[in-house]
Amino acid sequence: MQKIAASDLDNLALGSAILGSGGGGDPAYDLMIARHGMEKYGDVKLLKTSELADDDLIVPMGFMGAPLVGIEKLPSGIEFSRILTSLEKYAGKKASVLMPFEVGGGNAFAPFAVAAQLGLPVLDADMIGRAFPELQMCSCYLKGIPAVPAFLSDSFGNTVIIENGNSFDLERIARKVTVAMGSCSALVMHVMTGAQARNSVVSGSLSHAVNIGEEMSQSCANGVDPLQPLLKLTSGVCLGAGNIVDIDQVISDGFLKGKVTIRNEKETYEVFYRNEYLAVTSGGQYTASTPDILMLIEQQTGVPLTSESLQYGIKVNIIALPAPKIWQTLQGLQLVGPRSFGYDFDYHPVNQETL
Amino acid sequence: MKYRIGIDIGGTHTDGVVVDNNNKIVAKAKTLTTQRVDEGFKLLLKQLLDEVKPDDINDISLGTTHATNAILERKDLYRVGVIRVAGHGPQSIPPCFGWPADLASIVLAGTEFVSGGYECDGSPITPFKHADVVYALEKLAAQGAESLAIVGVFSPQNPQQELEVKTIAAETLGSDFPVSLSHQIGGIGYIERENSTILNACLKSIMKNGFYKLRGAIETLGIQCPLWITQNNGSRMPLQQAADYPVLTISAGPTNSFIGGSKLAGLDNAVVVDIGGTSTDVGVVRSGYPRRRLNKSKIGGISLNFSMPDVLSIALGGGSHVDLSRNTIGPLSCGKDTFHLGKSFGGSQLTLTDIALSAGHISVPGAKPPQISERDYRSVMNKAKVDVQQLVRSIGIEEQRLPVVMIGGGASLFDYRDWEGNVFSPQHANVANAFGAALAEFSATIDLVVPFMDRDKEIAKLEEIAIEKALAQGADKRSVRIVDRQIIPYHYATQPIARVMITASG
Repeated sequence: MQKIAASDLDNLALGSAILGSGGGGDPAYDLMIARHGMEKYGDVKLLKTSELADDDLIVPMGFMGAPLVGIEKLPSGIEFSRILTSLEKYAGKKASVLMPFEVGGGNAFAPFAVAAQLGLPVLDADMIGRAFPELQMCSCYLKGIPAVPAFLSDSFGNTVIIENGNSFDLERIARKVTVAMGSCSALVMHVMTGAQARNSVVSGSLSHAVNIGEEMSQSCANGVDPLQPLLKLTSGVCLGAGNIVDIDQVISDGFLKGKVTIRNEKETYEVFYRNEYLAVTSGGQYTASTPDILMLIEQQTGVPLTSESLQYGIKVNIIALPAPKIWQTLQGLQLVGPRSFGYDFDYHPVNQETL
Repeated sequence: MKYRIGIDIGGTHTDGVVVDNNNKIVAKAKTLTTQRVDEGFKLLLKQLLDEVKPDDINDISLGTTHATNAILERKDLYRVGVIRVAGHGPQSIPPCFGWPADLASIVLAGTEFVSGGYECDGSPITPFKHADVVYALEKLAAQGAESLAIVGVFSPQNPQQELEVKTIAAETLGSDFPVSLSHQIGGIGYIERENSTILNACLKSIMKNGFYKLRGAIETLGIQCPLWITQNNGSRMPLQQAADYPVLTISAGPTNSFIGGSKLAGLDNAVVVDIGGTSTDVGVVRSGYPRRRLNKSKIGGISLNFSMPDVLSIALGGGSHVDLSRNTIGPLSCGKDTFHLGKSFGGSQLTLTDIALSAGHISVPGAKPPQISERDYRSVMNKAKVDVQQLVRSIGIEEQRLPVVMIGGGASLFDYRDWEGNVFSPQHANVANAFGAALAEFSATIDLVVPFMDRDKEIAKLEEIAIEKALAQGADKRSVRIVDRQIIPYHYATQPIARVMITASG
């Protein structure tokens, strides 16, 4: 893919929801913001990591804060352009390429409106290849690219620069600043050069998300269940299918934590989540876990279900897509493997043979 | 003996029923909906008055697609001026974004931003300024706005600023200038609430003229009773309230037909299928109340904020064009012209009604049905059966075990004895929607975001408030109950919070 047009955005929404692995939130407003920007200013050029110049200034971005605020206090539209002004003053050079920090969920859309407005390209990549709940769970952290200097902006363009710390400090301070900004802020972090980006980002994730969306919506348009085309495209597997019979959840520390039980005539499945789906059992045995991308999609229509939209009675397919390679490394697993989330077993990647 | 009248003014037909104290239908009538809606309405009432005296009528409840049609046809809509009470100037998504372009250009006269709005913790985004509002009002009026939509950030939690704007509008433009306040129309979700508010603002014109004409029609017939208008949640409201909140009357039609259908069948839980002239709609009734969907409720392609009845539709109805060579039914339909464009009525279009007439399954006076072979008849009827059953299956797995109640003008086209499952058409099926209107109760809905520390206590408190509000609207103490409860938790908040929507009715 060489560019993203406004007409690709629905496919991006579908693909990013699948890769969101149950988290990432409802992208409806993010989609409208991107669409409005692109209808007004035009298509956005998509760059491959191989096309980056060593000295390009790459800017990963996204929104942070309570989704409730995101759907009430619409962005003014100057948040990211003001951050770029501050960043350019700080760095002494122009930002040349924008990118989303995560492809999973609404933040996949973050760079498009400002990219269209300023005529900047977006890198076909993100820093996670899916969604994970905490800021340090990203490829740039693993590759040792500092998260700071990081920039936060509110809707008036008041910009805060956080420098000299580490990802954990950033997470803690950024959340407090975000609350001060009204519980919603624009965030830029892990700013890097083209040379650094080449080896530290998850390449191709935006076009991958658009392809997933396109494959699924084509199937639906032809009256065919998109499950098999989706699994074929992503080398994923179906772990099971059935009706949602129980949802057991609490909101703790700002996360939606719980377990959903799915049943058919022969088998009972449980899917555990903390915003994102983290582990699946079948008949009490673990069959899949993070960092593989676990997802629940509606049978027949393929509509992806985030953990917030689970409802009794929905007929679902439980799928697992292979994790982005970086998460399958030893270091990756230390950060986002099952043990890091408190499960007492080792990661076993899903593949066609395990089932 | 006092009677209630229920009337439904649909796209094709205007139906009416007279109902006694035991909710039994004692009279019914059906006429074609006329171009001037009050004429058909008057004709219908005259027919009903053959069976009941004006003095014996307690009240009249009306459901109408007026509002829906005005939007779909782009007719008789006010030009709307939008004031966004949002001090940070949200330009990222403009008003009417995603609307069909022609509708947006007809409706939107202009947009102004004024200082104000609230953060999620209740503090103002920027100070509210009287002068800003006056300037905005004058500018919008100069741009041709005839009706205002006021949308403030987090106004459902904090209505004060929107109410202040209303006061200033009365001072600046006169108290007759129509003003719609978003917090009175929808809940959290700025764009959907704004959409609903703009629609409400533009619909005020036809409501003002249309509904008051209907009241005039009632009075000329010597009827003195109150006129209630049904709304999309199946309850009824006074004429003045319908004139202030016309957007709430959208989808009253499907709600009335689903409630009417289930009640005609004597069931609290059922799948209801309404076969009309052009389309067939299916819905689910649970505990006497149609299942509703909150998210993704739309009208004319516009996303709205309040919960609407969950309806699935296919383009299959009495007037649907039938092509025997390809064994297709619809999507085109003769609609209200079926009875003169159809082959049985001197026209040249073969319709589903013609097919049913040809086999003698139904009969219409004066009809001369075309000759259709037994094989073709079976083929078409089987396709229709398959299409409708497929539609019923798509409403959900749990619902497959429920009885299926067939209603609407087109319900009589089929013989249900060879359909799978418990499928039937009750007596009076063709006036189910008017019956539903007659049964409409009084309701109140609470739509708030609340802290969820003690979930059960919080819900119980809100349910009490909803019931009190419903009683204040006129609900019957003996039957008032909670009919709808939806909870949407919000994440990443510093404490557990959720949007809670509770409707009480009686």
